[in-house]
Amino acid sequence: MNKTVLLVEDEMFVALDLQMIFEDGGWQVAGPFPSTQEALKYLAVNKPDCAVLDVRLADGDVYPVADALAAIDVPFVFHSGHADNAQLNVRYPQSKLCSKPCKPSDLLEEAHRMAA
Amino acid sequence: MPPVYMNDETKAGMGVVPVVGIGSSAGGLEALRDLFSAAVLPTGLAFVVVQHLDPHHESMLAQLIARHTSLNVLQCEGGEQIEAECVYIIPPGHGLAIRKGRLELAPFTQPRGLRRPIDDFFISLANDQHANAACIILSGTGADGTTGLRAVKENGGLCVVQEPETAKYDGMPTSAVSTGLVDYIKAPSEILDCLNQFFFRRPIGATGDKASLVADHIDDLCRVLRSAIGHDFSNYKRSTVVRRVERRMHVLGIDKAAAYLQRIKADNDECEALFRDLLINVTNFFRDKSAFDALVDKAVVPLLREAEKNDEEIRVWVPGCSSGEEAYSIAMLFADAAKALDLNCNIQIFATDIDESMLQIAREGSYPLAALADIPLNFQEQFVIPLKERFTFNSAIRGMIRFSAHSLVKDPPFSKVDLVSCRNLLIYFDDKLQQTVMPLLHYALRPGGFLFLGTSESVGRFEKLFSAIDQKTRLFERMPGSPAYPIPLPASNRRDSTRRETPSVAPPRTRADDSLAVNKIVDRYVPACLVLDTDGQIVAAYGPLSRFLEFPVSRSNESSATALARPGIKENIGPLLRQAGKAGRRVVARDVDAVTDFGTLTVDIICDPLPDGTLLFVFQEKGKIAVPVENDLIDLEPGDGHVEALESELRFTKHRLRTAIEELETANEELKSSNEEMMSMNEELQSTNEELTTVNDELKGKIDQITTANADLRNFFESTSLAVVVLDKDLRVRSFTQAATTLFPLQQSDKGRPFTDVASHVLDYDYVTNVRKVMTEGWDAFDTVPDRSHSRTFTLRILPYRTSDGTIDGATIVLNDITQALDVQNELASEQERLDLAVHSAGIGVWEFLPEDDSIALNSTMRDFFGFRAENVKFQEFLNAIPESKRDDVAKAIRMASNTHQGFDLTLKLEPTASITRWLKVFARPVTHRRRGRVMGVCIDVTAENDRAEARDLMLGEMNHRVKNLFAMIAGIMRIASRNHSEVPTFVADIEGRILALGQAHSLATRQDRESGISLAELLDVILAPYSMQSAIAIEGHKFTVRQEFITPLTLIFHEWATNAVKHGVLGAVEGSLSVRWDANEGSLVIVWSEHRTTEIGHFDSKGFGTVLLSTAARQLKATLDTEADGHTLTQKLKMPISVGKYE
Repeated sequence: MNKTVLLVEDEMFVALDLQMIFEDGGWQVAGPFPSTQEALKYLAVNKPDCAVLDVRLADGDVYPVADALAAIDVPFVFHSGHADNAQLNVRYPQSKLCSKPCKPSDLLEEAHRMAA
Repeated sequence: MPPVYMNDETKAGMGVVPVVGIGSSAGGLEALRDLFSAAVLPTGLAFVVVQHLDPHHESMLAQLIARHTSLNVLQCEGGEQIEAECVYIIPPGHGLAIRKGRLELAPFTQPRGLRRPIDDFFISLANDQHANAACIILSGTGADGTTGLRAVKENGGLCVVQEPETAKYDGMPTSAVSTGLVDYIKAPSEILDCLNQFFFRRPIGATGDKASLVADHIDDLCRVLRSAIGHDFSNYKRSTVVRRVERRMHVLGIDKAAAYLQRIKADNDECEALFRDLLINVTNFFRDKSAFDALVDKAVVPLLREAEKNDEEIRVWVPGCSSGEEAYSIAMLFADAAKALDLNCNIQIFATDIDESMLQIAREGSYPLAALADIPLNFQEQFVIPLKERFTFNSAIRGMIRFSAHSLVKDPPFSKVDLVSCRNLLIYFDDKLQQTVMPLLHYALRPGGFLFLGTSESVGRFEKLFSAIDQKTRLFERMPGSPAYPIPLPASNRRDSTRRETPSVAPPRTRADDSLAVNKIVDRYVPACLVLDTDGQIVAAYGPLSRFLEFPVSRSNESSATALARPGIKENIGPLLRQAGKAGRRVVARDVDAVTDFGTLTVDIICDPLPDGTLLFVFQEKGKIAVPVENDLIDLEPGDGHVEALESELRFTKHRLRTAIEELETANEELKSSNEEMMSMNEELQSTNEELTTVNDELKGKIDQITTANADLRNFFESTSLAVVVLDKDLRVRSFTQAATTLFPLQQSDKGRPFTDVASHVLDYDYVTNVRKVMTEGWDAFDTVPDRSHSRTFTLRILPYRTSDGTIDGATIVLNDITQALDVQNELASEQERLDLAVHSAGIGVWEFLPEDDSIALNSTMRDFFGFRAENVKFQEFLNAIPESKRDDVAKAIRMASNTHQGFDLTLKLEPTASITRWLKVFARPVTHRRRGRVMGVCIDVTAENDRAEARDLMLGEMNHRVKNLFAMIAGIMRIASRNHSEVPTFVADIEGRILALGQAHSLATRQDRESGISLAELLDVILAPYSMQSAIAIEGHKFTVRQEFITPLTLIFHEWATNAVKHGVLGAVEGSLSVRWDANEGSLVIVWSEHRTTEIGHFDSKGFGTVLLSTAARQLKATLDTEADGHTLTQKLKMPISVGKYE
């Protein structure tokens, strides 16, 4: 059974790329969701193994999703061009930040680590 | 000899300001100047100057002295509390006194010429300040101050006198020095040093220690004194002796008693000085007048009556007579009483003292006129002979007194004395000595004799020896009976003293034999005896002599036996004297007829030479007095006619002589009284002269001042750049400055010319009218006048010229060239204007912190920033307007800048008001060139800059984000494309096309003028523009604005469609047309892309990357995408929520 990764990313090319990368890596991809609304809707009934979150989305910052994930103990990694590293570290000390653009392999590795 | 009893503790050195009284008269100004110019602050002393002044003339003494000293000089107005470093000057026409440290003015009671303001003040000073006082006597004629000096000394104060050689007039200093009581004799400039040393070298607070130290050495000191002077003070009251010794030590500046002991051992002069100080005599005539009155009633009168009855002489002893006042007082009492009772008694007063120098004064019997006041007026008339500045007593009084050196303690006492007056002596003796002295006095007095003591003395436990007659007066009567105990006569083992004993004029003859019987015999039973010296002067007399001698009142000082002897005796005395003297053996003249007032008496006169060269005359009466019979003259005439004739002639001559003498005496009296009148006139003249001298000195000083002021004025006139012209009331030139000659054609010779003659050739101004106006109105006139060429400007002031009494006697014109000042002023004003403009237009707030009143001044911009209305607000108020977070920083920064003179910069964020948050940049710099402590600063509103910077930061972050996203996207695009391409050229073309499309979309999305999106038609135009030449493109639809965030996916979709059309359709090789339409429908916007191809649509690749991309883009738009191929037509239908944009 393939593990599920939740992708939240509003930039369509990036989202598409990530989707392909994870699918190539043997992951079941949930999403990619371009907004927190959709991601939260998904999470209301699903529990992925891990998640990759863009920080800034069309409908605002991704924190509600991050909080929801944290609430159900799903590990996640931030994938963002947003530079506010410090704030994220304080708020989500468990989560790593992969700064955009990053190597796809890094994200995969992190996902594996998280889902292990 | 009574030494002064210091009735107060030594006060100086206990924080009380010593008060220095200074008395001066003619020539005093110079001395005062010298004295005060040497003052070095702080002196710690207060000075009171009593100068003889003209009562009708305002005194300038205070000003004249003030100019030469750093002390504060005031003319006394009465009521001043004495303060240190002040010099109080007596005002003219008043006396001065001090009471409880406060100066009081007193009206003169004495007529001019008899006033003694210096004495009066010194006496009040002595009584008020005691040891805390000092007196200084400076130049002047007369003897004012001498009596006062005595009082100061008596109360323990310091006495300083100007060295008579340095004084312009040495009368006062010399008189003061002659008292022998002066501590220092110095030149005026050295006096302050002297005072300082005396008052401030006293060890403060250690008085007790030192006193005990001195006390430890008293015995040694007494021993030294005894061997040097011959007088033993060891039984004197200890406390008095200690005080006196301490005082001498202060005067010499010696701190240690041991050192002082060494000093007196080595220094005979100091011995004398100490001796003198120990015996400081306070005595005056009729001290305690009431006691003397009682003495007259209770003792003098009874004694006189008794003596008259018994035909005896009255013997009075005054031990400790000092300078003789007491003795003279008693002599006057007796003489006056005898005269009043019309009794003729022989009164012998023995006045003794141990201080030879005092005795010298007493013998001279010459006293300063000041003391005259103590002598009752009727006594003055009878006994006093006034001289210039001093007075003396007539010979009747002087003849009654014998002064001699004699120690009450040491020498054998007198005997058979009727009255002992021993006032204020015993108080200086300790108990032991008093107990020794009392029996001595008892011994000396005959039974029934009187003892007259001082008011604070008593007979102590010797009540059995003396009974009080008048306790209040301290008058006692000697009880009868012999002394029942041995009289401890002090051994005379110190007789070999080194002190020179001046032989007394007439050493009183004392009887070696004390036996009462012998006394009685001598007194009552011996025949009349006389002891004469070889010149016939009476040395001593015994027995009832009145029968043989007569005592004419007018010649009472006569002590020549020949002159006094009655006729009959008279003729025999000379031959007897010569014969016995020559033979050295007894010689007798027998049956001599002595002519007495009551008749003739036959007498044998025996002349017996005594071993000491004197001759004893014994009158042995041979029978009774033979009363002469009336007709004797006739009977005897024939028998002895020639002699009788001669005698009668002699008698007649004698009678005439007597008459002549009486006339002479009357004339003499008249002369005396006119002399007295002359004396008082002289006195008056002298004081007038003194006053004139003072006025003259003052005038001299004033002239000096005027000369200086005149020179100052002349220099000012020559050097000032002010053009000043002084006019008199007729508008004539009185004087002008050098600078005035440049404006007016004035020359020195023009003084006195009317001013109109020299009207200015420079200025147009109506001087005459304006000057007259000023002179009538009395107000200054001020004007600014340009010169005729208008190249220079002058200020012109006209001031009324006021004389010293305030009347207007002309005018002063003052012209000042202010051209340059005006230029500078104008320049400054325009600079100021420019600056204000700049500050105002730049919106710069300017403030200045004023530490003087802890406030801050704000310009209008500042007031707007902080919402103040006032231009000047308190610093705290200002701080309150600053946001709390920065308040302390600002306060600290400004205070620091004010204190350390260093500037600061800071940025302030004000509390938001009306939705604007203001940012201020503050620069502050201290004001250094003047008024240090001020801080000046500017505030610039930097809100806009700040906002821009914030926006820029935001933008930068956004850009950063987007760029990173872009990179990520491009990476994604590349990775996605790489999955569908195996050849690089097509891969590149594919990617390139998409990136360019994205670039187009981006540039559309970020165009400045688009804020709310871009119209759909425009978007399509841009995308399809490259192909518009190739085929017919129709674009239709209502205006629909696509929201920003959806531009990119929409662009990608359109791009994908267009790419496909280029590759396979109407935009490429295939002929046909393209139409794009959109329409709104039930909340959705449907875009329909229709290609009408001329050829059949072939294979339609619905897989591949393009499809994935389209579906992803559609998902972003929440849109559905349908593709239909129907023969020649390819229709792409995109249905998305209307919320993607805005339909109009």
